[in-house]
Amino acid sequence: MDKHLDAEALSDYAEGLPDAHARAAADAHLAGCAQCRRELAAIQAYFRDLADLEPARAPADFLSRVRARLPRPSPWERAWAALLIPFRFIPVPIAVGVIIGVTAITVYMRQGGPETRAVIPAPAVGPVSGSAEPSADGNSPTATQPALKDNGPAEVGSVPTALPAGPARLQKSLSKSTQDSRKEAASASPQRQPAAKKGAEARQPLAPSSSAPPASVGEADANVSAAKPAPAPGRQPSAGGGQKLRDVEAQGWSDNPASVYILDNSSAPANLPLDKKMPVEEQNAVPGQAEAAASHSAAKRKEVDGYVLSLRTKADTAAVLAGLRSMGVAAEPESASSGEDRYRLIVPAAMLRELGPYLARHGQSRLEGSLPSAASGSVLSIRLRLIFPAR
Amino acid sequence: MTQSPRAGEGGVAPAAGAMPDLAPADAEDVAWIREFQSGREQGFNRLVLKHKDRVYGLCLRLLSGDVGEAEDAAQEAFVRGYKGLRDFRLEAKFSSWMYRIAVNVCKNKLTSRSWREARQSVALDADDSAVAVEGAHAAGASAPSPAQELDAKKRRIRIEAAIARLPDEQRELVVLRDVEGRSYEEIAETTGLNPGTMKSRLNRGRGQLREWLKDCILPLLLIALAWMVKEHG
Repeated sequence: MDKHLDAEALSDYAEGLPDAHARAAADAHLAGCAQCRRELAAIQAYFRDLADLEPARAPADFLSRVRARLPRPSPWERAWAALLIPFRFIPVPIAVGVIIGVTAITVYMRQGGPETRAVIPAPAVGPVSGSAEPSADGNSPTATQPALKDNGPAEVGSVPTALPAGPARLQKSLSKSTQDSRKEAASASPQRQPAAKKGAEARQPLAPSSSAPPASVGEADANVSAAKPAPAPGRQPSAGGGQKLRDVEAQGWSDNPASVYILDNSSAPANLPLDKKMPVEEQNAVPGQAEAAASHSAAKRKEVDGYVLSLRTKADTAAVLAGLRSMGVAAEPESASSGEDRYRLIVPAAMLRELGPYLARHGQSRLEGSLPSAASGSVLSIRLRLIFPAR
Repeated sequence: MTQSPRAGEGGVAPAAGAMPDLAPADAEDVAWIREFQSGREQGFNRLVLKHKDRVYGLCLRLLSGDVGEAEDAAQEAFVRGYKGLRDFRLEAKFSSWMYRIAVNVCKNKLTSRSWREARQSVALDADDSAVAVEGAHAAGASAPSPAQELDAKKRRIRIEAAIARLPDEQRELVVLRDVEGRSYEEIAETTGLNPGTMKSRLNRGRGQLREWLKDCILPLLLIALAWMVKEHG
């Protein structure tokens, strides 16, 4: 007879813990051992007795007593917990993605996102009367926009009329003043008519990356007041004030919205830098785009002394201007007299170094003053005097 | 050692981070926990109402039938559960989690100086505690006849008295395993004991208990002694 099963083995057997092999061995022993069978029966009775103990029952008011002992959060803690409830079930990857997305969009918008670029195709602006109050007659800018497009080409002719927005009265003022200025220009310099036509053809809007030569803005050289598009909400439009804007859009050398409008210095002190005559932000008071323009404050306008170019004949003027256009330099006629024409060149900084050598190829050229260092992306306003033998 | 739960019990505790197939009762707990975590106190109330008897019974036996202390311990366990339930990650069964809290609360009471002093000063321990536990039993239990009910009641009193006399570390294991029917894995998780120690202590407690239950004279003597103390100071 083999060894008796001890109490632990019998307890395990009663609980069903042994594996099949151990259980078979225990069964074989129990079959021939009455003492172990009695011990096993006692253990099984023990398990039954303890398992049969009825569960105790907690007092009936147990829950209310527990709740009475619970910590009471302050109203602020309850409010804070209520605020955090929706976030408790947001998966971490989704939360991280949302945070990254919002951050990226914010940075993108701050650096001039889509509305900055939206300025580029906008609005070729012809000279208009700045005294016109855009909203004085109660017309909403959007309501008058079709009228602008209709009136524009018919009255202004070559002057693009795709104004951003503005009341009809403003557009009429623009057309009228443009016509007036053209009459003045025609009477002052009959020779400039052909150039004006060429400029008008070239003033069709170009994509910023276009390689087509930019157009002269010579035909729009009248001293007219600033044409401000519809003012941004909460922003007072600049009523006249002697500030002049000139359109140099479609120059192709800048996608900077600040370059869409530039200042006409003709009625301002000659030694006053352009950027001090009118802040770029005010000039670009396109609704919702002033901030975008402000972000491009790097495009500073600097005025320097100019070049003096002596030509053999006045006929060489057209060739010089055409070459300038091909370089992306806009030439605005300022004055014309016997033996001398004066222009204002709008020169991208990238073309600044090439300007002197180019002029020197057409005649004797000299620089009056000095050229400042220009930051990339900036635009310079440089005077050009073309001198030729008087008739 | 092969460990398996007793019949009808949930068995192995769920692995951390996993959501095993839940029994309906456990799924019910999960739903109430989520209800509470979403800000509705009703979820906690339902959990208390469902588990209060077992938690209270565990405390009552672990504290040798001291009704007042057991009720205080069970309430304290649920208060602690309330504080931790907002961060409960459903990586374990709620009942196992609450048992662990309740055992810890009872251990703290058992090791407290005031508890030991009170226990030493009261001579009647086993018999009164057994009666107290018996009195706390469910009143709805059916009894075929008054004689059978009396016999069953006597037997339960004997068992409860014997359990209450066990050393604390053995009583804890006997109650969790043989009375409450928790699996060995749950007990190891609750008590923090390694399987060898746990099994050894449990078998010592079982042997002691069986010895006491075999001898019917001891409970009778204890009951008589308790009566004398009560009656004569």
